[in-house]
Parts: sequence; C-alpha cells; structure tokens
Amino acid sequence: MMGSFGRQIMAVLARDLLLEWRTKDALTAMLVFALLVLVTFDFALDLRPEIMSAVGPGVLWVAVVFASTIGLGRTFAVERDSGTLDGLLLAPLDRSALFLAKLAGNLIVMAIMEIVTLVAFAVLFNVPVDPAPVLLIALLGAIGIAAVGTLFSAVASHTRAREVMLPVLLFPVIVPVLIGGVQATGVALGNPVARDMPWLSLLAAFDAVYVAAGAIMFEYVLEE
Amino acid sequence: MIASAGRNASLSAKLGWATLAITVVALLMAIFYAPTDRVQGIAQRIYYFHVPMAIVAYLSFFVVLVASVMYLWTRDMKWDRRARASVELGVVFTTLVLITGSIWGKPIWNTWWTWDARLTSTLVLWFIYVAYIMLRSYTPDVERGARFGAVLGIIGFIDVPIVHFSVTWWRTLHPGPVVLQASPAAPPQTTETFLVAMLAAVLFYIWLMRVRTGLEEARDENRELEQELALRGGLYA
Amino acid sequence: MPEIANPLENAGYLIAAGLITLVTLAGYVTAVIRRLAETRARNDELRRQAQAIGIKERR
Repeated sequence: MMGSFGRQIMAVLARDLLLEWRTKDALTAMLVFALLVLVTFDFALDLRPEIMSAVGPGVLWVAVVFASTIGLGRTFAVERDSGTLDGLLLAPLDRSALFLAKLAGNLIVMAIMEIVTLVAFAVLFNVPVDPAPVLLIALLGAIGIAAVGTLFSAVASHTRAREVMLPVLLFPVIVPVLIGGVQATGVALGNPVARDMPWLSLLAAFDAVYVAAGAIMFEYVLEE
Repeated sequence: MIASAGRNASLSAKLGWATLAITVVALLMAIFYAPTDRVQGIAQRIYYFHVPMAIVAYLSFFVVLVASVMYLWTRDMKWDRRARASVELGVVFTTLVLITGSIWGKPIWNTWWTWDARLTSTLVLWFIYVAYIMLRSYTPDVERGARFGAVLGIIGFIDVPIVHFSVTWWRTLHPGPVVLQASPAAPPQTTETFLVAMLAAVLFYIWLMRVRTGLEEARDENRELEQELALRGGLYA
Repeated sequence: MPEIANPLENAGYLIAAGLITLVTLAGYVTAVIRRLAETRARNDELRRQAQAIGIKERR
C-alpha cells in the first residue's frame, strides 16, 4: 500500500509539518483570526442565547472558512517567495502526490484550528456542544475546503493580486460545503429549523469529487 | 486565408440576419401571441426571455467546459479563445437572468430578491465565472492564463450540479416562492412562443460566439505581431 | 392563487425587464462589433509594418 506514491506524499507532508511545527506561523494566524471573527460576530450580531441556535452554526462556519483562507493562501505563497517551489518541482515528484501532501498538511492544521475554534465557540457563547458529530462535520467540510483551496492557492499564487484571488475563487465553489456544514451542524446542535437532509453525504460527495479533481488538475497548474 | 475569412464572414452575416429575424418573431409572439397569465398578468411574459437566456447561459458555461478540456488536451489556442468568448457571453446572459428574474419577482412576491433555489444557484454561478474573468485579467502570461482558465472552467462547471442540489435542499427548509410554477395545462401558444424564443436565444449565442471568438483571434494575432515587431526591429507605432 | 384583477397592471415590470435586456444585448453586440473592427484595422497596420521589415506571414 505504501508504494512510492505514498512515500512521496509522506515525505513532503513530513517536511511541511516539521516546518510548520517549528514556526507555527500558519496555525497561529488561523487561530487568532478565527477567534477574532467569533468575537466580531458578537459585536455585529449581538449573539444572545435565544438566537444562538439559529445563528450559531453559521457564525462558527464563517469563522472557520475565513480562517482557512488565511492558511490556504500561505500554502504556495511562502514556497514561491523563498524559492523552494522550484526545488519541489524539479524533484521527480508525482504532481498528484504533491497535491495530496499539501492537502493533508493544510487539513491537519485546519483540523487543529477547528477544534480550538469549536471549544472557544462553546465557551464564549455558552452553547452545549456534542463534540463528536460536530467535529465529524467540521472534518468533512475541511477536506472539501482544503481540496479546492490547495488547488486554487497554487493558481492564485501565480497571479497579480493573490490575496484577493484566493477568496474570490474559493468562496463560490465551496458554497455547497458552507450550506451542508451549517445545516448539518444545526442538526447536531438540535436546531429545530435545520432539517435532516443527507448533508453528510453531500459533504462526502463534494470531498470525493474535489480531492480527485484537484489531484488530476494540479499538474496543469504547476507546469512551469 | 483571405478567401476563408470571406466565407466565414458571409456565414456569420447570414447567421446574424437569421438571428435578428427570429428574434423579432419571438418578440412579437411573446407580446401578442402568447396568452396572458391569469394570476401574474402581463408580467409573466418575462418568462419568454428570462428562461431562454438562463438556458443559454448554462450552455455557454458548458461550452467553456468543453473548450477547457480540449485546450488542455490539444494546447491549441483556438480552444482557449472559444473559452474566453463563451465565458464573457455566459456572464452577460447570467447577469441579465438575475436582473430580469429580480424584476419579474417584484410584482409577484413584492420583493426585489428572494433566495429561492434557482435564483440563488444562478447567483453562485455568476460569481464563479466572474472569478474566471478576474483570474484571466490578473494572469498576464498568456499560456499560463489559458491553462489556469481551463482548470477553472472544468472545476467551476463540476460545481454546478453540486451547488444546485445543496441550494435546493437548503431551500426545502424555507419553502419560498418558486420562480417557475408548472401550470396544470399550458396552452399550446405558450409552448410555441417559448420554443421560438429558445431558438432565437440559441441562434443569438451561436452568432455572437462567432463574432466574439473572432475578436479574440484578432487580438491574439495583434499580440503576436507586436511581439514579433518588437523583437525584430522596433515598433513604428 | 387568486386571479389578477387587471392583467395590464404589471406592464411596467415587463417593459423594464424587456428594455433592459434589449439595451444591454444591443449595446454589448455593438461594442463587440466595433472593437472587432478596430482590432482588425490595427491588425492590417501591424501586418504592413511586418511586411516592411520582411517578416514572413505566420499561421
């Protein structure tokens, strides 16, 4: 199972995680931003307990998506600026393996950010949260966001206005993740209005389609 | 090459006149021939151009998908030109669909916008392809722009059905007004008018695609010529 | 749903939607055709320059 393809992924992933562990740049930035968004929402919407069940899931997911954009934007920007991207591309790396490695790296950091954000959300707004289902939903959503985001991050990093391009490209495409994630979280938190549609299947299908699409399309983005 | 340009031009011209003729017929039918809706009154006639434009918009983006795949496969710039042209047409049509949809909604539901499944999906579609146009304009390198465009053309279109489902499921929670009510028995005049309008819209798209793609072709040629001239010995512009 | 009392009551909306569509499409078509003519004119000019310095026509 761990063929050369798997080994390539692990090699790049280990390197990225090690780099991230040393500086914790991306994780810190994402965490601080997510918490900031939560707090900003309180000022903006005056999140009293009675509206939390209706509005809560949305607040949580907006914080996660905005914070993810920060982290995803860094995926290739840093590599390009420091010149290490050329090194990666010259190595006989399968492009799909590179994509999956970057995806996994982003996913791990996003997952940590999501856990901490969920805890903060539960504490700040006094929302009783059953962690297991909500974290599952958050993870499924993160896979989709990371898949599209990793691909688009590579695209955006080659353009003139990269901070603007990534959100502009990303947000419309991940609308299904946002809708599915918010509704599923609503169901998990006992929101009476959120109805049981097969949201998890939707998220899983989105993930499958976009991880595959990203892996296939990645080589076309990185041809240099 | 000049001869083929001549033939192309005359085909485009014939197509253009045919389009104009059928559009006039469709317009007259929509105003006079089609029956007046009992519930919505005369405003319902917006349907005869709102819906065909919506269908043609999706057609445009499907063409972008095909052109994107073909470009990545053949690396022939003619496919990228078609993608560029079709994206712009698609965004123009989608914008009109959103505007006419909004205007149609006002007398019916007394609101300028409603988050019903179709309008919302169309809005997301609009954003995806506006992002395409922005991406192309922010990618100065020609070959890279074509490649990135192709990737987005594919990724974006794959999303269309997924967005549609997610928005439709989301909207079953708050059943709002439905843009297209299936009337129990639409009289034949309605269907006939719609079909003529549909034909006009498709012809219009085909004709405009030819013209717009021609513009991209001319632009690309200019760019190449300018590069050659700059290389070989200065531009006397 | 109740039948509308005066069917012509919403004519304004139909006219607005129709006019916006017509004006937008006509304007767009005109802009494209005009731009095409300009670009082709520039094209001819560039070709002449290219021939003047002896660049062979590429296809």
